[in-house]
Amino acid sequence: MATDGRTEVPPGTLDMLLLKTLTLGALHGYGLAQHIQRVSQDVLQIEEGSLYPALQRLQLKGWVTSEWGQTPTNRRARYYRLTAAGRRQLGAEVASFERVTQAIGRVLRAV
Amino acid sequence: MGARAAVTALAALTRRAVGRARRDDLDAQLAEEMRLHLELLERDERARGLTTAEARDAARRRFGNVTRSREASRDVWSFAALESVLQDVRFGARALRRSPGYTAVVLLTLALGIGANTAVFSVVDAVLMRPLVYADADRLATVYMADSRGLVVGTPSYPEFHDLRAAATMTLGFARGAALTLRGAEGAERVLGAFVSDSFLATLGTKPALGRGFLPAEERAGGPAVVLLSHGLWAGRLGGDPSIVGRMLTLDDVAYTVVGVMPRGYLYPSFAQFWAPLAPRLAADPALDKRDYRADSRVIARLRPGTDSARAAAELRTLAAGLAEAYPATNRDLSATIVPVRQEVVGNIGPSLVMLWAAVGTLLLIACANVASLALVRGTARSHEVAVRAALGAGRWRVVRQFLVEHALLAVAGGALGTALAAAGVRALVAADPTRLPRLNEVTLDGRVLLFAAGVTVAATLLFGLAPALPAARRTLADVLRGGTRAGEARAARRARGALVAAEVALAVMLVAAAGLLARSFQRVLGVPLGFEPARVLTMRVEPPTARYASADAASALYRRIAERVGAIAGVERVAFTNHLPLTGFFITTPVRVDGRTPEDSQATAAIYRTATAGYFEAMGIRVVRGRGLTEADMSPGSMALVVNERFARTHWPGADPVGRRLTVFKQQIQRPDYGAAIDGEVVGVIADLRTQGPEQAAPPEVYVPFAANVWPHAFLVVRARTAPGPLTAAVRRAITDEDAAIPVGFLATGETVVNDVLASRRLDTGLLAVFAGVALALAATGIYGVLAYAVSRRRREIGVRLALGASPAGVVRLVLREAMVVVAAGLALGLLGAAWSARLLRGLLFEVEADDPAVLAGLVAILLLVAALAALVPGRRAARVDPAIALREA
Repeated sequence: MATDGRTEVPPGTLDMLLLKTLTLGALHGYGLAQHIQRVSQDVLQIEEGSLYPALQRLQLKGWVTSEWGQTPTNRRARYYRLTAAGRRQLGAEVASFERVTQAIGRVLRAV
Repeated sequence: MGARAAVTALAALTRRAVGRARRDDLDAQLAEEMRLHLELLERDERARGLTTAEARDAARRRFGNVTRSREASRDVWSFAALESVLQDVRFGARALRRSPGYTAVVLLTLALGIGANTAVFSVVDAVLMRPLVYADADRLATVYMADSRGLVVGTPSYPEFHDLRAAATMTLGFARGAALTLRGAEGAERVLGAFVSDSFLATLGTKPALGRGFLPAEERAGGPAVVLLSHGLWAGRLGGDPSIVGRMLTLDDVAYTVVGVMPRGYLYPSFAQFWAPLAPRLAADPALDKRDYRADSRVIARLRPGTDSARAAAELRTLAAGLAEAYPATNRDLSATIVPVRQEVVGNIGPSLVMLWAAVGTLLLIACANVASLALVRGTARSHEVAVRAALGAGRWRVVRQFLVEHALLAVAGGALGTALAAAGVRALVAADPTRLPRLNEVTLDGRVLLFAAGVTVAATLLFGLAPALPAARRTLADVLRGGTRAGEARAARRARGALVAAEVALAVMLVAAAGLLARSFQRVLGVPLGFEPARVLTMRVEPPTARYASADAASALYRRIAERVGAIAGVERVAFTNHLPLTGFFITTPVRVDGRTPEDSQATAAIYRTATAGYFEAMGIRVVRGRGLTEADMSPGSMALVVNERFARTHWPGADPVGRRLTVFKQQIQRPDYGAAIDGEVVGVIADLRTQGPEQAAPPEVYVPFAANVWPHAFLVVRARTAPGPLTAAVRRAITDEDAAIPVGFLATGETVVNDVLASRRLDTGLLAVFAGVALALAATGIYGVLAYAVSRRRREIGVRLALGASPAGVVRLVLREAMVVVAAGLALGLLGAAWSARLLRGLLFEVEADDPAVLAGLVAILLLVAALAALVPGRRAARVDPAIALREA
């Protein structure tokens, strides 16, 4: 398994990535990690354990809820789901992120 | 937006609280979640071709630190800051439990300090700070008639009040004092009250707490008999019955309807337990007609907004001058003055209370210094623990916070205990009421007092908590593990302790100086000759019902019969009657004409008017210095004998023999038809000056008239006993009831009691301050002892070396004591300076004593040296007993 070429998730963006991923539907922790890794084409490597504290924080803020369910292989797992407030928060964070990224891009291109 | 944010925050708080409660549950669930995650990761790795064991390791590597994830997840569901403080509290409580001696001493010291301050503050608040119950009380004042010097000679008469009211810009009200018999289920009781003009209630302004005031129909002549009750009378004698309004009360055999009850603290005039309209009484009361009857009344004035007392006083003076012109016979040379009601109510208790408050505050400072000293030592002892905590990653603030929390625990517990003590103490004080303190009935531990207690507690925490905490935090791990503290550190701590103890000593010296000055003043007051001998005197006021003893002859005959009966009791040496007794506050004045002329000096135109039966002077133990006293022969009609006191003689006939001089006074008993009639008499004797108004006031001029010439309807019976007066009380009362069972008796007291009552306030102040000074000395002594004991234990090795090298035990002791003596000397010097400064504040309370009274200073220094010597006793002995062999072996 190649670990080179894999970058850490920029700090502060984990929440945003999790919220975005959850727009696809309810997922459990493993599923969330796999999705992010796959879609980012293996560039973003998360220490998978750090998902859980992040998910707790999202639940505390009321952006995510969770409930126990069954996996396709009949194992018990906790599924996380986005709330309306979470959806709103995602919109805000994405907008903010894009604004910052564009600004950085402009600075880089200018030089 | 603000509301939305608040709702969001509240929702988050609720979620956090719920999560916190279910934390262990969530923890278990999370464990299961993570287990599944790891399994799935393992499966992936196995699919890539790794063995089971390799797959498990790879999965764990990808997952990361499981424990850290679990802990981080757990921490989300907690109130980090709060839980950290709670942890400090638990830890602090444990630490305190482990040193019960320290905890007990500090708790007790703080409880006493905070409790005493809270108790005194509750009294200061109620008496000095809280506003009076009357509306806008700062504009209320009492009007008095005064002489040209501005000294009060009496209260305005009813005709004068009318004239003043007509012309003055301020609102005026009139109250006529009365003592009526309240007849109820439990028997008859005399209550004092006032009959008031129609403007009276409006002038004071306060609405009744129950019921209503008087209606215009009730304030007319012939109106129905209605009465307003004071809170004290209602709550006490009438049981606080909420349905009292509308009930009937019998006062002097007349049925009054109760229309209302006034609020607590409404006491104007100060003796009033009831108020009733004056108009219906006008016809029946002869005093209300007399322009020159200036007693038994009160005139209250409400100043207009914008005027101050100076302007009001000027206005009254002008009006009085107008009256003097219009009525020269009665008002010549008379002026008027006003006294603000607040000043009258609070009296001169102010300086006394403030001094007590300052003293008790000083005591708290000493207590805090003592506790800080103890805490400092304790902090040093725990430095090892502090260093370990620092090594484990506790920040400096965390360490300081731990100490603060511990001290806060002590302070809160001490404050709670102290407040409970204060509550009990205040309740006891109000019940005992040793000095009849004004407004004492308003003293409670209400919100303001509790807030004060809390504030004092916080201040105490900071004062003695911060001091040791800060140096403790500065220590580093390396310092402590090296063993012992850095030398500089230790010296600084020692200096701090020394400074604390010096401060304690200084403050204690100030308190002892104040206590000494007050004690000396009290001693001087006790030494003032009163002019009579109270030791074997028993006195009471005989109050025959006017219905049956209305005429002077009937009353006179009754008194004679009572005197015979009482005189027959075994153990009675003398019996006499008089109109007013000294030291009871009762008096009336008469105009005087000396040698046929009115004196030019306006101050000399009046004298205290006393009537006395034969043998009065002997019964009271009053010395006759010239001529003779009053005899039985003087009691017959047509007698011209008058007796004056030395002050009167000095004023009118300085340097000459007063006996044989002519003197005219005027009958002052308003209820007799011959009120105001002239008594042309001759001075037959001079008595020694009597301190009628108490030992601290000079004797006023007095004239004594034979009792039978102007019979008083209620008179004071004076009995001189052969031995102790107390046991005769029952027999004397029986003699009176044998004569007539329906005669009430009041003001029953022995001579000692009467004198003690006058001294009560000063005695309380002196006593309290002595107690405070004693406690302060004890605290300072423990401080000195602490410093010395520590010094001895620290220098054991050095002492051992010196002893081994041949020093004498006495020399060693002197060496150790020198350290403490520096501190004590510094404290003494500072304290003496402070005492000199604070003596200025005491001046109002001192009597014939100067602030630098040598006896007090000498005593002060002696006491302090004695206390220091006592404190040094044990450490000194311990130093002398050091065994050099053992001490040297200690590494």
